Amino acid sequence: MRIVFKLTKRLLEKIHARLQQSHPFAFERVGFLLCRAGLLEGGGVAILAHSLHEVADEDYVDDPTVGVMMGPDAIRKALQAAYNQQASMFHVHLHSHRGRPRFSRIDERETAKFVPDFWNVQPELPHGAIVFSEDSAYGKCWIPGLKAPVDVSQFSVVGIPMRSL
Amino acid sequence: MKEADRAELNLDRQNFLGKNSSSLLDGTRVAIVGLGGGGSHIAQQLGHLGVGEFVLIDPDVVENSNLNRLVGATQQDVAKRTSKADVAGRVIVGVNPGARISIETVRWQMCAIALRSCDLIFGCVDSIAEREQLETAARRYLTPYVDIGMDVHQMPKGFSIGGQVALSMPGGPCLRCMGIIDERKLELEAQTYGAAGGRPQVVWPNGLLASLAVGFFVQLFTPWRKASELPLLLEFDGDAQTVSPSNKLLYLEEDACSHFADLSGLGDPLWGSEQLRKRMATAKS
Repeated sequence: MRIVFKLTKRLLEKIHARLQQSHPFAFERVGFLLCRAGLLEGGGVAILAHSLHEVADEDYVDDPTVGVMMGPDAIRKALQAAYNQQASMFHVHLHSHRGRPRFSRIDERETAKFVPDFWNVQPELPHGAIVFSEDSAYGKCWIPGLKAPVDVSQFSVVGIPMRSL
Repeated sequence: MKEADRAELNLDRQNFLGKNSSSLLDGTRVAIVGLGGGGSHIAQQLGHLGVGEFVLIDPDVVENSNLNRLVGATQQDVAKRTSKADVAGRVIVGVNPGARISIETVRWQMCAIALRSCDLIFGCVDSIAEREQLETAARRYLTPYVDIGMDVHQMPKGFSIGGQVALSMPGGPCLRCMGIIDERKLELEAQTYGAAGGRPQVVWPNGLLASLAVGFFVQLFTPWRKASELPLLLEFDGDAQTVSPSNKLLYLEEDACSHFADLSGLGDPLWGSEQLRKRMATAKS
């Protein structure tokens, strides 16, 4: 299934700026994108990003064995945001390099654990996870009714100029 | 056209638009809603540019009164009652036989799903209310919307021509922010609905406004200027023969739009409905 992820240039700039900020102990920052979805002609799905839900400093867990670890409050608040705003949620983090990023083994393992949790509050909506690099992105989308997540086919940045990641 | 007569569109003279501009343009999907005076010019120019995929939407057929401005239409089209969308498609394919064209001879609301995967929508519709609906549909899918409008006003000393081209970028100022749509105009239009008669239209302002609209498109989708900002609203004074960036936007507190700020304004409002579930199931299989 073709998944097109769209976000504005302004939101992308905000994501980069926020995720690059240093944290008192975590090596990297994470967040969630509040999105909505729509069907595309021919059966694909468009995921339309609206805003960034940031993880508060105090909601990270101090675990030196991993780059970042979210605490239970981080997940609870993201679930609450999804519930209150009827949002499709996409976990985001940043790898500081150019070119196409990939999920690490930890990313694969952890996203597979917590992304489907969003179906507890928004069972009809697709949810997912994205890793951005400095100039690209990679993502997976969990579609209701499909057993396995689907790779995001295309990232479109809507702004002047228009570009794909 | 016979297969043997078909040739690829040669875009060598526009290489300056940037590396890979030809493939970028060929990979772009554009909708033109309204293929009358303004839209027919846009279709023609995008055909020459080498845009690869078109959704051409107009429910009307060519009438004799259209021939003063409808690019590509002929007396034969009047006689045959050819649809305006078909005329535009014919003009494009005549230049670029490789263009992928979808013709919709219904109101755009009846085929709105075709707009969702477009990279940009050109709105060449007459009414204020329809502009608002079309811009809303575009914003739902984070799609840039370029609106052109021309008016001939009766003034004490004769007729005056004016117009504007607006680029409505998701996240940026919308047509309401720009003052093109407001409650007073919508109310006035509703009061005079059905009584407007034939609106005066002429070919050269349509052509000029369409060219400016295509200029927005080229700046957005090719590496030509590497622009990171554009004047989002261009105003045309047909009497003075001038085009200027509008001053209206200078006085906005910030360029973010408050009219389309809600998450609920994105995506399919029917997502999760039974109807959509069936379509999803079909799509998955």
